[in-house]
Amino acid sequence: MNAVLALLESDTRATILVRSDRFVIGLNRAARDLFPHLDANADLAVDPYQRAAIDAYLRRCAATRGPIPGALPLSANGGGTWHLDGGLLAPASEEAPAIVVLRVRPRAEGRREFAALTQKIEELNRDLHTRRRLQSNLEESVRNQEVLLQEVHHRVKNNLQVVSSMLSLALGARDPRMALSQAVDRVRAIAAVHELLYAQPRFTHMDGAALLRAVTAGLSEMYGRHQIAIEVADTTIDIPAEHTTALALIVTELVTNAYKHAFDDAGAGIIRIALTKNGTTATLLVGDDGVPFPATRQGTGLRIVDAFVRKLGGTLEVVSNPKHICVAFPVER
Amino acid sequence: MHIPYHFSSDPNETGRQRAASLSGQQPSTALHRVLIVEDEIFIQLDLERELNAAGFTVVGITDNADDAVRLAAKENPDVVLMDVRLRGTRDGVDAALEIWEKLAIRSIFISGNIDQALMARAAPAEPLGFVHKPFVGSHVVALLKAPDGRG
Repeated sequence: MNAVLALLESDTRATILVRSDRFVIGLNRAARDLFPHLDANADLAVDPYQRAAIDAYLRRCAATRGPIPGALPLSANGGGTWHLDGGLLAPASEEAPAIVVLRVRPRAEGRREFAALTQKIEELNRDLHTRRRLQSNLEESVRNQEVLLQEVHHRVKNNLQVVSSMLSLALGARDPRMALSQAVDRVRAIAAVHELLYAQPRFTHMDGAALLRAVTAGLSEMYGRHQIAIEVADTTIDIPAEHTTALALIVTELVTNAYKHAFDDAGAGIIRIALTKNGTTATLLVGDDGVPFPATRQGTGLRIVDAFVRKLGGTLEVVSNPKHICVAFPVER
Repeated sequence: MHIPYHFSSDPNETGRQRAASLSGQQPSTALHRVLIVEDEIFIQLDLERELNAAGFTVVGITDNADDAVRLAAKENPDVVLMDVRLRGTRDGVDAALEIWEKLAIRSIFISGNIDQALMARAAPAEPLGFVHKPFVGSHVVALLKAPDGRG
């Protein structure tokens, strides 16, 4: 047996030679490292309560030369069971019990292999989870795009209806030429706001000063009344995107009204516009130095202004001295 | 024409009579007084002018569902021209359903987005017709003159 032990000495797998009566014959170096409490002549059963189980396993190993897998508590002070393969080395004789060789399965290595598998499964799970989340995000994005497309489709049709109605109104007006040029003003005001809104980095708000400049520039071109100046006061307020069209059309109507009614054909004058904010209230002032407002408020122009003031959730006030119209509407702070 | 059963107990006799007359043979005389419910001012103005020019009487104009119901009860129009998207939380279908149930006044729906879902929602209000946006005033006038020829 010493020759066998010598052969096994440098094997990295811990190996124990033991008689079927649990009497340890010898251990190789790897086994001595793992089980320092065991040496030749020791009882393989560290725990007396495990004797029966170890005896049964050794008996089975002694009955066959093929390796028998087993699990035995070989460590001192607990330490759990060790997986091993046991096989007959020398059968029992009249003088001596059978000798069994126990080859201990490397625990650490087994753990590593198992750990690698576990890790792989975890990776796959994470991967699957990520893909599912990605897919659901994509599906939601597609749904959002569809909703958005429907919304755009709806708005385009509604805006075409608005333009169609403007033209239809102009056709039926007493002065179709003037009415058509007003329709052009309105469409241009809407277009200017749209252009501004989508040319800037954020779609949620628009610089109030830029809005006023864009709308009034288009108007003065249209009327070509260069002796009437438009003064836009400096402003730093931001207008929420959903209010921009209404505000642009209010300015358009009020400035057009001033062009049409405040000055005689050759007259010079100033139209003043200011946009200010106080807390959560924004105020638009449009005034001029022309003839006073008529005593009674009437006309389609003011009805249009009223409608858009209503859309802003605001109020309109006509002030005679100094002559101006004041539109106040709520904005967030 | 189907009249919902819960309507048989409605005390508004004129409404029932009108609803019944709408299924009769003289729609052109039945629809004279019109309520306009539309939240775009230019479309309001256009519809108002077109209807006035064609000899109809516009009994009221509003941009929201609650005022539509109130005005319908007050003015007792023959028909409501009902835009679907309105100012406020309730839409034109909500208003039309309430106006039909309470007052037996029917609506002609106007929308840029007339689909199966909309028609199904509107069906219990017994709509007189649907007008696609963009429309021209003459379409609406033609429909008011001959609501049974629902084109």
